Amino acid sequence: MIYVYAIIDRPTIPVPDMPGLEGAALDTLPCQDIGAVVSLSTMGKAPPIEAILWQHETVVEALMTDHSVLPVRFGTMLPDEAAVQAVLVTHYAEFTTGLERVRGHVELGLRVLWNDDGARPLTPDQPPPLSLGSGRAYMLARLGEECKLQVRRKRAESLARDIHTPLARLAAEATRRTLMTPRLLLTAAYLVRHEQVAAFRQEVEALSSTYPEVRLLCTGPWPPFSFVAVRNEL
Amino acid sequence: MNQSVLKEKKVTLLDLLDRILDKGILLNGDITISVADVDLIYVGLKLLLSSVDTVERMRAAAAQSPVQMEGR
Repeated sequence: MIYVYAIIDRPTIPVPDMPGLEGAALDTLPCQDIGAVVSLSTMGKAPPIEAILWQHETVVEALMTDHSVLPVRFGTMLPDEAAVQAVLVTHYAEFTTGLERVRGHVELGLRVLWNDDGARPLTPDQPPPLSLGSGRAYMLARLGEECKLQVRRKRAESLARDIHTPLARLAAEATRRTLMTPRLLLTAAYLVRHEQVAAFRQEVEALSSTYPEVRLLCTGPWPPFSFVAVRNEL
Repeated sequence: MNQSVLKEKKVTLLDLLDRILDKGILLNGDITISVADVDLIYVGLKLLLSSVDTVERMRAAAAQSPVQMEGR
């Protein structure tokens, strides 16, 4: 089996000086002016354990220093070289478009933790206190809870927007999700030009001072995982 | 390793998992990870996330009541 790490903007390159998964040598398979970085797999599977995940990541990061790369989903295997070639031929246009989209950029990740009171687990199914025995009191209590929840959600949206907007301004593209858990106010990814990374980090610092009620955790630079077309219809 | 470095490492691992298992190009090859494997690693991911949460809560509590914390 052939394990695939990434699509790159060259048909062949001197591969990074590091072993691939299972200790196999890295290699490139060309198609016109692009290529795939691969290694041979005898196991035919890639267990998703931390060390192996990092190994895939490290290969892609090494490629990223000199090339435009499209990271491939972890665990992707094709039966043989011909199958890899076939994918490159079939999706050549998509891949070249994708490579241009991310050229000169890296991905930065952001998680924003919110230290407000409302982050305590909400328990809508909890029975009301016995003193509120009647059905009407119960409904009122539920309604009150629901209102609090709505107010918090609104505050979250506005706070998330205030943090996201200045960062998105420094990025070519961005993705965001709000309140994936009660405390996780914002989960975002930004496609940032190499030379803008420092400015982006400074802005994160500035936002940390401006909004003491949140904690901003910035990771990366990552390969542009969040900014590649995920599904190739086949 | 101090707490904030430890937390940074955990958040970095979380961000790696989020990307490498859930994003990136899908080729028409086999994704060789079984659903059970992904479930397993996502259980770990949830634990990590709640531990990040816990560290935050502890820090906030310590910041709000430094005197009490010292007194104990």
